[in-house]
Amino acid sequence: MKNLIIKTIALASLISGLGIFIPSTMAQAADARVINVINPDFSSGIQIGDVLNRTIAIEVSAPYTIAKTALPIKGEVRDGIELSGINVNLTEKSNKKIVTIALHYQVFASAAKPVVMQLPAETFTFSDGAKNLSIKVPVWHFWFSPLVAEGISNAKENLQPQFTPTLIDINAHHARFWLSLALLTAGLLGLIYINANQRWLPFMNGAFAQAHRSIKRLPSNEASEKYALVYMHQAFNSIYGANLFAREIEQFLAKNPKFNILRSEIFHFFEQSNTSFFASQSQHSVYVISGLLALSKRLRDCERGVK
Amino acid sequence: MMNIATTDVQLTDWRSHALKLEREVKKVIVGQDKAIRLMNVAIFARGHVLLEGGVGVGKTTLLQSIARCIGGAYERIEGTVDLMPNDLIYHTYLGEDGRPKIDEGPLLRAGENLSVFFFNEINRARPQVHALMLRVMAERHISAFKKEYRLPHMVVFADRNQVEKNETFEIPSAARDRFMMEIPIEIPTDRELRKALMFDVKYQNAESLTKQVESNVLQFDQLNGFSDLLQTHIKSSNALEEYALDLWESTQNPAKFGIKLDSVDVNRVIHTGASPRGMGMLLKAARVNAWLMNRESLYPEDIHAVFHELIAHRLVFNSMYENRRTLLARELTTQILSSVAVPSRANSEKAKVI
Repeated sequence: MKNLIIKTIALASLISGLGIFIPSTMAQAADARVINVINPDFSSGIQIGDVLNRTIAIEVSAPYTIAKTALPIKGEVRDGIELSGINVNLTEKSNKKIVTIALHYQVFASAAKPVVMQLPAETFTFSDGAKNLSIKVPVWHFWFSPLVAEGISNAKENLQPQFTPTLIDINAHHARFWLSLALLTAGLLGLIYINANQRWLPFMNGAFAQAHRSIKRLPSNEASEKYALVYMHQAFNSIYGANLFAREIEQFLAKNPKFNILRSEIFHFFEQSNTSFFASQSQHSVYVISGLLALSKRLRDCERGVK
Repeated sequence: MMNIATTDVQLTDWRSHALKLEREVKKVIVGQDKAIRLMNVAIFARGHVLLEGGVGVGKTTLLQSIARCIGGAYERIEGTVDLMPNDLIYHTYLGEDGRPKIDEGPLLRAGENLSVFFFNEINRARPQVHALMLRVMAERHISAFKKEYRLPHMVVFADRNQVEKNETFEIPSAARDRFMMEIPIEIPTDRELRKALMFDVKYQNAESLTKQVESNVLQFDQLNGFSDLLQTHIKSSNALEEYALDLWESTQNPAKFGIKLDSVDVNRVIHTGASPRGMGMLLKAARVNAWLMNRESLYPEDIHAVFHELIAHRLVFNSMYENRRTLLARELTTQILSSVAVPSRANSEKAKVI
């Protein structure tokens, strides 16, 4: 009786097993296929510690999804080959899905002489909820090379020259670097030329540059107003080559057209100067000096040809 | 407060009259704008004027027009080698009754109403005549016929013939100094103006031309009073006074101010610079210019406007340069204005202390 029961259960299991297996086998051919396998570039000279990457692209019908619980487990070691990483990427295309699985193996096997090793075969399972199907990727063989030859007594004799890496062509980078450096230097010189108060470069010590420096040093008070005006007059006289008076501004501008842009400001300066020196009207010295500082800077810019 | 308002009104009124005088004279005299402005300045500064220029450039018409505008009497005398001082004071003639008579000469004829006296070709007259004339110019009164004639409103305009040297008596520097200005009357350079002077017949009849000028634009007998008011009204700053002093010094010692003249050693040119009287007159004329420019303070531009005409004839050159005086004086005054800085650094320091 007991044997009968056991046989009945075994038969039922066999029948139910067939009921599941047969449809899944039928679905596999139509619904999933390996479309690409990218193996490592080199299959020889692999040494301990090397990382080998394998990428498998599988096309499956839309309802199927990869069973993540059935994926190879990261850290699993098979015959000295450890699965050090696994990435799954899914892209959809009409009613198909393309599952790309990147497998990263690291070799921890050891051998005293070259031997053939293999990246293990992997099986991936897909499910649409009702049915499962599996795709098997075959092993990939490679030659493992030991770090040293077997039986050496002196490691020095076994030393091999270091593999020289291919040098990257950096001529283009050099050219770009020097060009950038030249541009940076030119830019810095330009900025110094435009903004510097000191005479660091030729043509920087023009009359208005000197006037601007002198006015900048003056304290902003009533006593300094006349000094500031005198510095400006000295600059105008120096450029004109004679004493410049308000009635001669047009001649001055005709002789020095680079100052034309500040025509009205120059006229205003001479009015202001006449009022300060010769008329009895008092002016707000602090504003006068700050105005002269700004004007001398603008005139300096004209003088340096940067305006 | 009331006085200030009255003064302002007077200044404005007189300015409008002065500018009208210029406009009126410019109606009949073309190409002499600068000379007209300078003569206007001299009238209000109450200074006598030496006119410099060739013959036939319109000096007489210009003076007659100005005299008409000023109002008062206009008298004129021609300088000749036989002119004697008494010819200015009186002249003798035979009356209708056949008896000799004495009458007042051109200087006395109009009495106090004399406003413009024109001495044509003054350098043809003898030094004795110069002496009398210069004394009258300075004192503005003269004793004759046992009484004193006052000429308070008289302004003398004298012309020098610079072309001919025969039978002329050059006016010495001390005498030239009595004239406030020496104004050049030059032939206009503009071609259109020259054409008008040649072909426009209205310029060829001086008498009818002068009549086109409005008469009595100014009140000649009030000019002295107004001139005093004007002179006290226009102020000068310390910086300007320092500048005027520098200018004065530069006429005496031009090398100190870095002044250079082409082809001449500047250290050897000047014998004597401007006189104190000359500098006083310079500031007086400059104040008038400031007033005409509607300012209450003297600017360097006011001094520049009259500088050459005030200073050039006062400079005494060493004898070897005298024959080039006109050119050298022009060059020197131009160089002085170009070289003497205003405001100078030193002056601004003084101004700061004050």
